[in-house]
Amino acid sequence: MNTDMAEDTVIEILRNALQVDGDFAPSDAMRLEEIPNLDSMARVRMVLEIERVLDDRLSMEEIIAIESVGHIRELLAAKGKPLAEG
Amino acid sequence: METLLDHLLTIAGNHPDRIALRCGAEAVRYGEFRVRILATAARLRALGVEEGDRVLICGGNTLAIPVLYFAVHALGAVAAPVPPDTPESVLAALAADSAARLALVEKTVRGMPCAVASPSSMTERTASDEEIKPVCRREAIADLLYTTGTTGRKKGVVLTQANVLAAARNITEFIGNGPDDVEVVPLPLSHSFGLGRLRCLAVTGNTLVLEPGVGTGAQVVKRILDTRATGLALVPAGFDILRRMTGDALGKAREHLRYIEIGSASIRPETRQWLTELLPHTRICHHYGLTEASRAAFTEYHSDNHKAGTVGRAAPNVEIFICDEAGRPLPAGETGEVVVRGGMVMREYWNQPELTQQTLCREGLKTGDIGYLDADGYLFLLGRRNDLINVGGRKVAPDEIEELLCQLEGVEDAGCVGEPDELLGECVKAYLVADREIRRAEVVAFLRSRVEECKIPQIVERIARIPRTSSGKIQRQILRSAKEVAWTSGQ
Repeated sequence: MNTDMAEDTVIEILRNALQVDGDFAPSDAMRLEEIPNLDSMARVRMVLEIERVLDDRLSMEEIIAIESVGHIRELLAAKGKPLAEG
Repeated sequence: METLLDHLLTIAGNHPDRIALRCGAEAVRYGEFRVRILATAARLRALGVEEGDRVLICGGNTLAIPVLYFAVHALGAVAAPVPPDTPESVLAALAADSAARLALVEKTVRGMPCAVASPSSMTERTASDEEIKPVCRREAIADLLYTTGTTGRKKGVVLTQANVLAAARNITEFIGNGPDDVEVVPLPLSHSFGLGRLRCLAVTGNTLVLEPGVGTGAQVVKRILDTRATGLALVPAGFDILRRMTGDALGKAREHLRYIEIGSASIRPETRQWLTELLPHTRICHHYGLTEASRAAFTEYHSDNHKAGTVGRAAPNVEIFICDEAGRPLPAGETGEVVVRGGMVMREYWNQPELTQQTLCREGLKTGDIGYLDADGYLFLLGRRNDLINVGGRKVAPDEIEELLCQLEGVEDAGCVGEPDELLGECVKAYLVADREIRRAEVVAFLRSRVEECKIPQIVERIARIPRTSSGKIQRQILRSAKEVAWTSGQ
């Protein structure tokens, strides 16, 4: 698995959700509630970004399971999309 | 019983084992709730809080906030709830404006003109907890709620104990909820709507399930299903998020979800239809009101389905008038200003006697909204009362954002308007007159430490000029219809 590629995609997703540029490199262990400014709307944007990358809708269970940065990467990897995009 | 706290303490005495609050994995029973309130009140008093003092309560939906709210009331002091995302400078300004004795804030803040303590540490139980004898007077000020004024300057709405008790009784009477109800509340308790649900708890003695926010909606739906909730309170944008993120999953709650309260904004017709079809047996109550006059009117979607476009009829124990410019009540069918009268109408604006005088009249509170009553007493709104932008239920004054945007390097002028948004109802759109290209990311970075997230423009466009009247007032109607303005995006 190309971990770097998946990580880049994750960071891009979060950057877009948070609407920030520049340095933003959260660790996999970082929980979503620890990310500054990731309020309700940013979380919605995050899910929409993930769905855009995957070109697929997430289920309610999949959305609930996203509790950390690492979970986003695991979800992307499980669905295989980021590697294909690379 | 004269106050909400009287009611709450009576319920706690009669039903100490009933669960009052749930938050995550924690639950607090009414007996424990009472003990925590009175012990916290003793600690507040030890910090110097006395009857009539203002106490800012800044925090998210944790168990500490309801405890602090009622503990402040137990001292006869004034609770001033503030959203947790309030920037430092605003927090300090509110503390100064209210001449607060104490600010309860979880984060570290600089430049506060009053003492600061942590909400969670104030409400932690210790072995040496004392209790105070509560002070409960109807005429005492209960809450000081800061709301957005049309110019961006916040107005402090003064509500007495009698006001907040009247509001809670009116709401409960309309919705018809009771002690057996389990209600999920993802609304911030710092906002008038969420706080209203907490006040109703003191009247009904039910269980509130506090959620940190709507989030992606999935957690809220899961909580409703897991707790077999009978009630839900949410803003219209919240339902759009739930629908977009979880499809029809809310429909699984149709057998136990007895009521919903909706408020703070209008709802899309398609969202309303979706809800009524998804939940055919649920009492879906949508209120119209202001912080100054909580829940002035209610409509119930199923029973009022024949009255498209109405915001409902006057809430129980409330009167609604339509008045002409001279303040004279008009007959049904005639258009004028909506005026509201009832026990829940605020006493005054904090330290703003002129504004109070302009707003309160013989008939009641002048809302500034334009509308008419039909022959059956249903209220229809025709015009907005001001230029405020309603972002998912939170009001944003464009002037405040414009003033800040003009401080950005290269920006000569700025104008903000509400732009339709798929999920939030409206978002902020900023037009900038600038001598250089300004990316939206730069605007976001500039505003983020200065204002709340909801005030940050989602759309930024460059424009040749901001249309203004001869007196310099921005012509927002023209600004909204971009084609009528001599401008080119990106120029």
